[in-house]
Amino acid sequence: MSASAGVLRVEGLTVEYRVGGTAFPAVRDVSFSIGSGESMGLVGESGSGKTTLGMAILRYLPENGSIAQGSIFFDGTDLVPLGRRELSRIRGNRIAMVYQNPASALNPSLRAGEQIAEVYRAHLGLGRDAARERAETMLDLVQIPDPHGAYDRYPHQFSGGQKQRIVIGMALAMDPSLLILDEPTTGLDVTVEAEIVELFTDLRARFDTAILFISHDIGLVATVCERVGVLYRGEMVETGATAATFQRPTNPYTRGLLSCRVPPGASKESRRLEPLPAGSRDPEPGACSFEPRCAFREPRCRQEHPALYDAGGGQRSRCFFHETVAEAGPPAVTDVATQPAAPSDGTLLEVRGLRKVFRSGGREVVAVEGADFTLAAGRILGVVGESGSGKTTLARVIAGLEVPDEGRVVLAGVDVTKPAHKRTVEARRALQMVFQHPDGTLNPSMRIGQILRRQMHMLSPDGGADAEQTLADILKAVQLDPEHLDVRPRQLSGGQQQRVAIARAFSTSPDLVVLDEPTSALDVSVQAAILNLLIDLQRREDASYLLISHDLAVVRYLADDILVMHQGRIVEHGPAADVFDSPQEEYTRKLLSAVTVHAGKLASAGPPARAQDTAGGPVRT
Amino acid sequence: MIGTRLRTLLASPGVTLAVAVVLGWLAIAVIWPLLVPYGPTAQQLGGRYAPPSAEHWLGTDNLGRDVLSRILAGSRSVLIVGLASTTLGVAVGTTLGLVAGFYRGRVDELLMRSLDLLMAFPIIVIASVILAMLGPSRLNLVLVIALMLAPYNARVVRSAVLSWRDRDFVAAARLRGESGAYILFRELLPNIMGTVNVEFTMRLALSIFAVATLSFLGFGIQPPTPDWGLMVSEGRPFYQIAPWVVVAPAAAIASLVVAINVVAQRLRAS
Amino acid sequence: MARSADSGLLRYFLRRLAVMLGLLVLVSVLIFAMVEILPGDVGNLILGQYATAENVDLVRQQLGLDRPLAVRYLDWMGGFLTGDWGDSWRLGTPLAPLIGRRLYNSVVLAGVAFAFVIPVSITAGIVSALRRDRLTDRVINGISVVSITIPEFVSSMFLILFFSLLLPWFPSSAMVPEDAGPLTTLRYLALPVIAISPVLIGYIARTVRASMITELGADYTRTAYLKGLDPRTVITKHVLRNALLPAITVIANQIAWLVGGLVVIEAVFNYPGIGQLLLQAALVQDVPMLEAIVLILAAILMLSNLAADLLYTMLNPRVRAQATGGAT
Repeated sequence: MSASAGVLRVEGLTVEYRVGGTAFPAVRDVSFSIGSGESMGLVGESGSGKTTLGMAILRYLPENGSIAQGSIFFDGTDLVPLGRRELSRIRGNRIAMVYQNPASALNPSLRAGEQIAEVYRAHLGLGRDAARERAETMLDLVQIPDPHGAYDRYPHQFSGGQKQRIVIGMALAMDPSLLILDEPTTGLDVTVEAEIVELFTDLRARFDTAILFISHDIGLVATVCERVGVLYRGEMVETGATAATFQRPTNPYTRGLLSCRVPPGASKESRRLEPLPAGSRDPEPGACSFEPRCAFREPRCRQEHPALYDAGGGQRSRCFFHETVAEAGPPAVTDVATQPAAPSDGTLLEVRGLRKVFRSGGREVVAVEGADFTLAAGRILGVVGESGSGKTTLARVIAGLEVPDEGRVVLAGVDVTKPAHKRTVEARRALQMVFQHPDGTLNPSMRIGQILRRQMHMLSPDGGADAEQTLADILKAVQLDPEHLDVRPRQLSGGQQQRVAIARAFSTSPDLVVLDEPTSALDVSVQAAILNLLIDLQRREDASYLLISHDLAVVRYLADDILVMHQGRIVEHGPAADVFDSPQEEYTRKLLSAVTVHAGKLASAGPPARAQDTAGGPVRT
Repeated sequence: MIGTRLRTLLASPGVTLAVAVVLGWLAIAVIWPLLVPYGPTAQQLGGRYAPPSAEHWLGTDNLGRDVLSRILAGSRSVLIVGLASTTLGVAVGTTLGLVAGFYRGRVDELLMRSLDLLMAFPIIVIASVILAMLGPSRLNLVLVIALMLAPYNARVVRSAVLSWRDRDFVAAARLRGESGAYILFRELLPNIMGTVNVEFTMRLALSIFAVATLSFLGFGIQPPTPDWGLMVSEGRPFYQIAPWVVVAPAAAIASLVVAINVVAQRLRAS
Repeated sequence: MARSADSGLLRYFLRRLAVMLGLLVLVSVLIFAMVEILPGDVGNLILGQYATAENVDLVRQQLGLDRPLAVRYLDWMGGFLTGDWGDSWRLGTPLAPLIGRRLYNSVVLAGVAFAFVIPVSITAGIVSALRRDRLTDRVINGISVVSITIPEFVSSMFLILFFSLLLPWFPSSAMVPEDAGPLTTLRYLALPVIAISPVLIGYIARTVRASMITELGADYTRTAYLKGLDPRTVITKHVLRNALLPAITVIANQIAWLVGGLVVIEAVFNYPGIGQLLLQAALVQDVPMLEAIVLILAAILMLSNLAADLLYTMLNPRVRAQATGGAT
C-alpha cells in the first residue's frame, strides 16, 4: 500500500475545465496529505482553485471539468478510477462535506430531519423509524433545540446558523474519516460564525474526523487548523504547520497575504497597510506564476518554474528564494501612518429620530428606530452591526435612496430628508456613495469615460472647461490610466472597478461619502490598496466618511468614531478606541469577542508568542 | 459585435437555412410583382382545380387562380401585419415592463394584474370577439394582435428589469438626480436589449401565427386579397379534389413561422 | 400546528376566491361594455340593412335595448346567476342548455387532449434535461421548437390530408355519432387531439426541461449526490419535487391556449363544442351568445388558474409559509 501515511493523500492532481475546446487548468499538480484526525487548511483568494480541489476529492466536478492527472488516495484506495456506485458508498459515509451557503445546500421542499435521516437509510439501510431516531439524536448533537419538532420543519423555518448546523449534522451522520469544509462560515454573521467554530471544536473532541478546511480567511484557518496549504493560481505554493507558516512565511505570496490583512486592533494612526501589488501582466508560461506580483523576483523567476522546496521547519515553499523570504521576516511597518483626524470644526451631518419601516404583505419590519447622531466635518464614522441590524438602511436613508417614516437628516445645515432627486444639486454633489459590489456599481453598457463625465455633468453644472482636467486629476488619484476611460466595466478587475466607483464619488469634491461595505466583495490583497486609497483621498479632500461594514477590523482601522447597531437601534456610539477597548454595552462585547475567536489568534506582525498558541490545534475561547 | 452575432447565427446548417427562409420570404414580399407568372386575383373559370403542371407549378384553385402567384403575393400581407403588430406590441410591452419592473409597488401591482387578466384569455378568442365587433381591417388586425402580444412581452421585460434595477449603478444614477425616463431608457434598456431582440423575434413568430389563424377563421384579411390563412380556409371545402390548394399555403405558413422561431431560439441560446 | 397551518391555507383560499369573484364581476362589466359599446346597430344586425326605422326600434324595444346600460347589465347578471342566460338573437332559443351541451363536448375533447399532453410533455421535458445536449435532447428540442410555432389549423390540414384522405384511418370530421362507444369516440377525437397537442406539449416540455436543468444544478442537488444517494433517489426524491412545481403554473396557463386552440380545431373538424359556437356567434354577431360564452370561459380560466395556484402553494413549503402568514 502506497498510502499508509494518512487518511487522504493527493498526488500530482491536475484538474481542468474545458471551455470551447480549450482546457484551462484550475488545479495544477497539487500534492498533500492529511493524517487521521488531523485538520488541514487550504487558503487562497478567489480563483485559486481551492473549491475545485475540494470538489475533485469527492469526484464531483461540473460536466466540463475533469481530473487530467494525479491520484487521490483515500484510506489506501485511489478515488480517481472509481465508478459511480463505489463513489456513492464513500460519499456522505466516509467523506462528507459542509458547504458555503447552507440556505441553498438544503432541499427547500424536504423536511430538515428527513434530509439527515436519508443518509442513514442510504448507508445503513435503516428503516423509517430507526433512521428518524438517529437523525433526531444528530440534531440534538449539533444543538438544534427541540430535535423532535425540528425534524418535521422545513429549512426556511431555521436561521442561517441553524441551517449550517443541520448541514453539519448531515455531514457527521456516518462519522466520516474525512470532512471537507468549504467556506463553512462565509456569509454568516460574526457571532454566528463564532458559534459554528465552537461547535466544530466541540465535535472534534467527539468524532475522530480528519478535516480539510477550505477558506479565504487566514485568521479562521489559523484557529481551526494544525497544518495549512496556500494555493495560488491552482498551485500549492506553501505548506507547513499553521503556526510556523504564518509566523515565518517562506513564500512571497504567503508573506504578502499576511501583510496585506488589516491587523486586528490596528488603526490608521498606528500603521499603513501593505497592499500586494496587482501585477500588470500574466505570468510567463513555464515561469513562476507569482513572479509578476512578487517583491523578491529575480530574472530566474521569469524563466524557470520553481518546485516545492523544503524550506525548513517542516515547511515547503514553491520559491527559488525561500530562504531570503524567510529571513526577511514580516514586512517592515511603514512609518507614514496617518495623522489623527483634526478636532472637529463643526457638524456636517445631523440625524435626528430616524425611523424606517418596511412593509410587505401586511407585515412590518422596523429597519431603523430612533437613530440619533451627528458626524463632524473631516471625520470618519464607522457603523457596525450584523445583517439585519439596519446599518445599510441607515446609509440609504441618509443618501436619499429611501425616505424615512420619521425623523430628519440635516446635511451642512440644510434639511435633506427627501429622496435624492428632490434634493438640490448642491446637496447631491455634497453627498456621494460608494457601493459594495464592484460589478454592479458601474453600468456595463457604458464606457468608464461616459460614466465619469455624466456624473460631473449632472453635479457640477459650471464644470465646463475644467471638467477634463478634473477628470485627469481624479483618475490619477485613484491610480487609473487615461486609457481606462475608453473601456467598459467588464474589462476591468474588481479592484479597478471599485477605483472607478471611488473616482466617480470624488469627481465632484464631496463633503460626505457614504461607504457601504466598500471592500467586502474584494480579495484581501486588493482590499489593502483600496483602504489606503480611501484614507489618502479623505485627507486630501478633507471629506467626512460614513463607513458601513460588518468587518470590525476594517472599521477599527479606518474610523475615528464608531456607532454600533443592533436590531435597528444604535446601541453604542463613541470614539473608536473607547468602543473597541472598553465597550459599554453587552451586545458590543459579544460582537467584539466573536471576532477575537479567530482573528485574535493571528497577528501577522504581532509577537511570535501569540502565534505559537495555535500550534497545538484549535484553541478554545 | 454584429459580426459575431451573425457568425453564431450561421454556425449550424439548420439555422443558416432558417435565416435564408426568413430573408427569402421578406424579399418575396417586396418584389413579388416581378416574380408572379399570373395576376394573383386573375380568374380563369375554365381552368379550375388544375393540378400542378409546368404552366401552374402549384396548380389552380376553385376560381382558376394560380396558386403559386397567390402564395408569393400572400407573403406581403402576413409579413406587413406581423411586423407592424410585433413592433407595436413589443414597443408598448417593453415600455410597460420597464415601468413596472423599475417602479415596483402599486404601479407594478396594477399593471401586472391587469396584464395577467388579459393573458388569462386566449388570444384567438379575444381577437375574434373584438374583430367581430370592430370589423376586420388590416389596422384593426394590427392593433388587436399588438394588444395581445404586449402583456407577454411586458412580463419578460419586467423580469429582466428586476434583475438589473437593484444594482448599484441604478442607485448611483438616482443619487445623481437622473430622471425616471433617463434611468429607464439610458441606464436599464441598453442592458436588456438582448432580451428585447429575442422577444421581438419570438413574438414575430407568434404574431404571424395569430394573423394566419385569424384570417383562416374569417376575422383577418378579407377576400379576394391573397393571404395564406384565407387560402387554406377557401380551399378547405375542396381539399379532397384539389389538395394542393390547401397544402401550398399551409406549407408556406409553416415554413415562415418555423424559420423565425428557429432563429429566435438560436438568438436566445447565444 | 398542522391544524393552524390548514386553517391558514383555508383562509388563503377563501381570500383568493373572493378576489377572483371580484375580478370576475369586473370582467363581466368589461365584456358587457365591450360588446355593447362596439359599433354595429342591433336592429340592423337582426333585420338586415334595409329594415325600416320603426321595425328596428321595435326590435330594440323587444330586446329591452332602450333601457339604460346599467339596468341592462344588472338584469343580465341577475339572469346569469339564476340560470336564465337569455335567448340567442339568431336562433331565438334559450342559451343555457345550448351552451351547456356544447361546453360538455368541449370539456370531453379538452380532457382527452390533456390526458395525452401532460404525461407526454412532462416525460419529454425530464428526459430532455437528463440527456442535456445529447442527441435525445436535441431531437426533443427540435420537435418542440417546430411544434410550438405551427398554427393548429395548419397541422390539422396536414393531418387530415395524410390520415384521412391519403390513408383513410381516421374520420376527417369529429362529429361523433350518437351511439358511439368509447373506442369509436376516441377514433373520432384522435385527429383533433393530435392537432391541438403539439403546441401544448412543446411549451410544457420546454418549461419542465428548463426547471429540471435549474434544479439539477442547484446546490441541494450537489448535497444529495455527495450524501451518497444513488442517482435515481436524487432525481425522484430531490430534483423532481422542485422541478415539477413550475409545470403546474405552465399547465394552468396552457388551459387558456387550449381554449383558443379549441376554437380553431372545432371549426376545422366540425366538432360541436363551445369554440365552434363562439366562432359562429362572433361571425354573425349574436351578442347575448357571445357575452355568455366569453363570461363562462372567463370563469373557467380564472378558476383553473386559482386551482393551479392553490396546488402550487400547497406543494411548496416556502410559498405556503408566505401565503398563510409566516411561521407555521
